[in-house]
Amino acid sequence: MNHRQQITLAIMLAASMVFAGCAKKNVVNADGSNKPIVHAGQQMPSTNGVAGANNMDAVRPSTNVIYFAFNSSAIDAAGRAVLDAHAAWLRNHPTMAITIEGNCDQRGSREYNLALGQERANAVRGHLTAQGIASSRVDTVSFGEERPACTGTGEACWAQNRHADIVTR
Amino acid sequence: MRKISIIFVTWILLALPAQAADFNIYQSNFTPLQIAWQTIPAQDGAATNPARLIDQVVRNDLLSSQSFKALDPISFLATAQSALSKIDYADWRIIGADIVAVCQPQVRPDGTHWLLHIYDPFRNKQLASTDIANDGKAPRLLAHRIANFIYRTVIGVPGHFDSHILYVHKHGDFSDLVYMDQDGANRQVIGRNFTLLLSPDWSPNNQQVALNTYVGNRPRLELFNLANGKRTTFGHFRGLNSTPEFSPDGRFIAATLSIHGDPNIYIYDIRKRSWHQLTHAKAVNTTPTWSPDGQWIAFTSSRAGGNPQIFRKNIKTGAVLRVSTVGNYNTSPSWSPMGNRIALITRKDWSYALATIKPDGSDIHYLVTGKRVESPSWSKNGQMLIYSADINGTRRLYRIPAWGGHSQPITPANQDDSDGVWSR
Repeated sequence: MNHRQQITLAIMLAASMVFAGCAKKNVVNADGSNKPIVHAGQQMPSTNGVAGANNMDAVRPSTNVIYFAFNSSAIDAAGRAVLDAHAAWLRNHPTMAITIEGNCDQRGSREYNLALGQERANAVRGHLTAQGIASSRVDTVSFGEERPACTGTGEACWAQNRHADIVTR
Repeated sequence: MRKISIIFVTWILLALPAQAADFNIYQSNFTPLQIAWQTIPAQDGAATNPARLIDQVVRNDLLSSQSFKALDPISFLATAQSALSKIDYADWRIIGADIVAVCQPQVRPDGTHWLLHIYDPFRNKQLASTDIANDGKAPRLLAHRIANFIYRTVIGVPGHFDSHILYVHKHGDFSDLVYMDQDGANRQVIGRNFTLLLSPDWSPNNQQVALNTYVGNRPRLELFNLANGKRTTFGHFRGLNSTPEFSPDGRFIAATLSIHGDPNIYIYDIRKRSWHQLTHAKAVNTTPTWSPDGQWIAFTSSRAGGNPQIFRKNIKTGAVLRVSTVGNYNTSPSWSPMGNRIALITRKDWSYALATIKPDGSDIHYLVTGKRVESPSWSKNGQMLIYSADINGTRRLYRIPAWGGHSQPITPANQDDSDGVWSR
C-alpha cells in the first residue's frame, strides 16, 4: 500500500466515522441507554433484512436517515429498504413511537422548503403506515432548510441536507 | 417627467455578479428628479438643531426612494431663503433643479411650525405649500412627514417614509425579532431568543405581528402584541403551521397547515377563533398572500407537475387561476398593496431572481438576482420592495424600487438577517 492509498484509506475511515456519528446522533435506545448501536459493516440494511411481522428478532435498523432528490419527496429504493427495516422493528416494538423530521437543502425559498420538508416527512409516514404501523405512532415535523447538516454549498453538501430522520420519541 | 436612463441600466449591468447571466433586468424609463432641498434655520436660531437633523433625514428619505437626486446647496445661485420670500425660477432652472423644496421652522406661541414650499422652476409655479405643526413628535418622525409631503406632491403617490420594518436576526440556534424605522433608525430587538422564527407579518393596524416559531421542536403560529410583547398561540396543529399573512381588513389570517396531510392554505377567523380550509390539492400549497380587495389569495403550489408555481384562488367563487407561466420554480408571492402586481422569487438556470408580474401572470420584470434572494415585501405605497439575499456569506436585507433602480442594503453587514416585512 503506497502513501497515497494510505491517505485515501485514512480519509475514508474518517468519513465513515463521521457518518456513523451522524446516524447515531438522533438515536436513543429503547432502554434509554446510550450504548452505541452503529457498528462498522452494519450501515445499510438490505431488503432481505426485512424480517416480517413474525420475526421477534428484528433489530433496530442502524440507519435512520432517508435521502431525497432536489424538490422531491419521492422515496427511492435505498430509502424504501431503510423504511422496511424500521417498519419491521416498529411492528415488533409496539410501544415505540417515532417522529419523522423532514429537512431540505438551502436552495429555493425558505417557506416553500418548510412545506417540502413536511411532504418528505409525510411520505415517510405514508410508507410506514402502508405497512401497518398505526399513524398515531408516527409524528411528523418539518425544519425546512433551517437545520442544515452541512452548511456549505455544492451538491455533495446539499445532498446531505435533503433528508428525513426517524427519531424515537 | 420619466425619461430613459442609460446611466441606471449601465450601472445595473456592471453591478451584476458574473454568474447571474440570463435575466433581463427591468428598468423603467424613469430618471430621478433633481431636487434643490434645504431647511433654513429659524430666524432666532431656536430650532437650529432639529432643523439640521430634519434637513438630513428628509434628504436621505428622498434619495432612498431613488426617485430623487439632491443638488448640493453649494451649487445654488440663489439662497433658499429667497425661495421662501420671492422665488426667481430662472436661478433654479439654470442649475437644473426640477424641484425646489424649502423648509423653515417658525416659533409661534402655540409651538414650532414647519413651513414647507415646493416649486417647479420649469413650469414657473408653486406646486404646494404647507405648515406642519410640531405637535410634540420626535424630529425624525416630523422629517418623515415632510418627506412624505414632498413625495406625494411631486410623484403623486403617498410617501412611505414614516413606515417601519420588522425582520428576523438569527444568531446561533436562536432568532430575534427586530424592529426599525424604514431608514434603519431606532433599530431595536423586540422579541428575543425564539427557537426558529419565520414569516412575521404586520396586522393592518400595525399593532400585532403574526409569526411562525417552534416550541419544543414543534411549529406553531403566534400573535405577538407590539405594545406589550405578549405572545398568543393561534395555530398549533399536527404537522406544519407556517406562513401567516393578515387579510387587508385584519379580520383573517391565511396560513399553511398540514393537519389533513398535504400542506394546504387555511384561513383563520381571528374573532371566531376558527379555521377554514381554502385549498384542497394533493401537493405542496404554501405562502398565501391576499389581494388588496380581499377577494383573492395567491399562493405557491406544486400541483402542476411537482414544480412550485404561483396560483390564485377566489375566496368566494373558488375559482383557481394559474399566475406564473415563466420558469419552473416560482415561489414566495407577495401581492402589491396597489393590487396591480405580484412580487415573487423565480429561478432560471439555478440563479434566483426577485421579479414582479401582473396578477394575470404577464409582463414579468426581473429586478435583482443573487444567491438566496428571498422573502419579498412591499412598502405600503407599492413603490419599494425589501428582500433578503446572501451576497457575502450571510443573509442581509436590501431594498429596491419596484420599477427598477438598484439595491441598497438596509441591515448591517455580517449578520444573519432575513424575513423582512414592511409595516402597512
